[in-house]
Amino acid sequence: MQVRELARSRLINVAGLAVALVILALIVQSQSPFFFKSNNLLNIGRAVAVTGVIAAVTTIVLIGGELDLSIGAALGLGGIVSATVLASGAPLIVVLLSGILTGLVVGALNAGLIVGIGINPLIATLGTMFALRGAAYIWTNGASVVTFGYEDFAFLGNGRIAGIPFSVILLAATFLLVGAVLTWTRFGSNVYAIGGDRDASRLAGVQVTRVRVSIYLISAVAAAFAGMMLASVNGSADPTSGTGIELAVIGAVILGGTALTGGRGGVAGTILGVIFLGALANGMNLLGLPGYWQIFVQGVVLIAAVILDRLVTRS
Amino acid sequence: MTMLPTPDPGLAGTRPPVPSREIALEGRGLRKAYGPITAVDGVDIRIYKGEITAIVGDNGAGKSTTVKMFAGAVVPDSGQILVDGRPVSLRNPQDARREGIETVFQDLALAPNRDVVQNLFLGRELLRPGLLGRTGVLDRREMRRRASEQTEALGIDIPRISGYPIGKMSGGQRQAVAVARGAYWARSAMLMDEPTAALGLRESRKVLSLARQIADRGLAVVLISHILPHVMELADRVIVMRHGQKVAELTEDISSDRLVALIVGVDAHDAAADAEAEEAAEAQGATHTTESRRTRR
Repeated sequence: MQVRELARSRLINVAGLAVALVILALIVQSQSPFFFKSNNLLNIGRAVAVTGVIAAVTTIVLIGGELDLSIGAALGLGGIVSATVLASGAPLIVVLLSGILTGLVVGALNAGLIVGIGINPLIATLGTMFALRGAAYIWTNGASVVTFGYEDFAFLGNGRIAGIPFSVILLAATFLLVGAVLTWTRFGSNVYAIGGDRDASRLAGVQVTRVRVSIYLISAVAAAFAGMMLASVNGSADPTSGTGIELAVIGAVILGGTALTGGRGGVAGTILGVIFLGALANGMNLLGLPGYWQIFVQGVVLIAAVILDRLVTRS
Repeated sequence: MTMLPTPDPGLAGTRPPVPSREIALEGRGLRKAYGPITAVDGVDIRIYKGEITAIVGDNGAGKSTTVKMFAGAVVPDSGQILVDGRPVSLRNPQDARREGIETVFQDLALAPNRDVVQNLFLGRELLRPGLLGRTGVLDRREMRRRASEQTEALGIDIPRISGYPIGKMSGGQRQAVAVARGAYWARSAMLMDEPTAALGLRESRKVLSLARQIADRGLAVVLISHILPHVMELADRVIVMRHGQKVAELTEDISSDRLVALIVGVDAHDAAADAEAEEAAEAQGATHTTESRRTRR
């Protein structure tokens, strides 16, 4: 009797993470009765929405065997640019387009360096991470741009539809879309194949260059869009927005069982990874754990999860 | 046509109706040099439909380079390639594929993390009809159906065709998948470069019988192999290459001794000729003339 190996290893990972999430929730709930309040659950959703949107797309990036460290900087720049356009009095659609265009430019830059010139993704996006962050500072001379008071823009991060935060709806929509793309489309299928063996995929006729360029484009666009969401939530865009978020995002994706080496993973794990890290942060807040300890615990959890994953998938 | 005798009906039933001696691929005056080294030196070659043509030769004889020209992986410096009688330009593997020429590469070109269905359609995925297809939505059910048809038709023994990564299969099973993919897409010819090099005895046998099945379907099969027993058992036609040239083409009396002699270029007759030529060359102060020997039947 043959087992569906692919599905099985993914299932173990996702199920393991779900169990861990339940255990975490029960521990926190036993100490603080607020955890399972619907308000608090929506708080978690809102807190992870920005990271989650990027994490969904970063799942594609990592499955394709690529890496994009510039997502945090692209978030910052996307927020700054769109906020500036907003402050100039442009209509919402122009504001949104300006943010998305920022993402496309950043993505094209990354793709040019990595796919065009052939620079290692780690080095290339490390470089653009600094350059873009610098550009965000230069744009406003280090100042924030206020987005507070523009009601339609505020809806992006703070609006509600039938009581559910709009940012959470955007998060869910992004995950459904990315999941569908990875599972049901030629692009998604090619992303897995390229992540598995790029040269073989090219020999077999996959349009490797086109797929790789697309990956960097959508990664940066998602980050810039998340920058607009964050600017909307905070009521201002700051050049420092999203600093370090790339590591939290990649951490959540890895926690969800997507391989850093490419070819393996999916959004079901990523959403659990994102929620788990969000619930952990929320739980530690509810339990009154000091901030310094929270950062420490997050690191330990990530390492523990990766070790556990190795033990399970190897046995 | 009317002059031909009617074929014996009893005999016709025993052999598959192979359209005899129809040319699938042809190369004329193919030449390729890498710097000072001439890998292929003016080769004329014809590959026939329904036949297994083996190309043999020592390392560096030019057999791989010749086959790669038909695969689109090597672009000849000069010479012409014809597919079904039409001159074509094969600049890359995609061009060759478009002409119905499939190649089973030595490293197989399979994605190890994908299953059989996904590999069979790798880079050529089937899309749903209509609007969904235009947005890139896969027709997974149709791909699975055709993959299952193809693997069953070839009698390939694999654990399962979907949900099981190919990287977990044996070398022979992977090879069989690569061959099945080639056979599925080939319309004119299938090229196999050392398909049994990494396989055990039983697995080799399976892959070779696949090659025969594919030729029996009327495709031209080109086989590069240094395993002479396989060549003798399987090939309808053997082309021997040496020093970038075609030195012999055999369709019968393919014996091991004869092949070895042709490959290394030392049968009794040749040896005498060599000695004579070398003596003459030495007399003239030249260093080496064996490589300039002409094609001999």
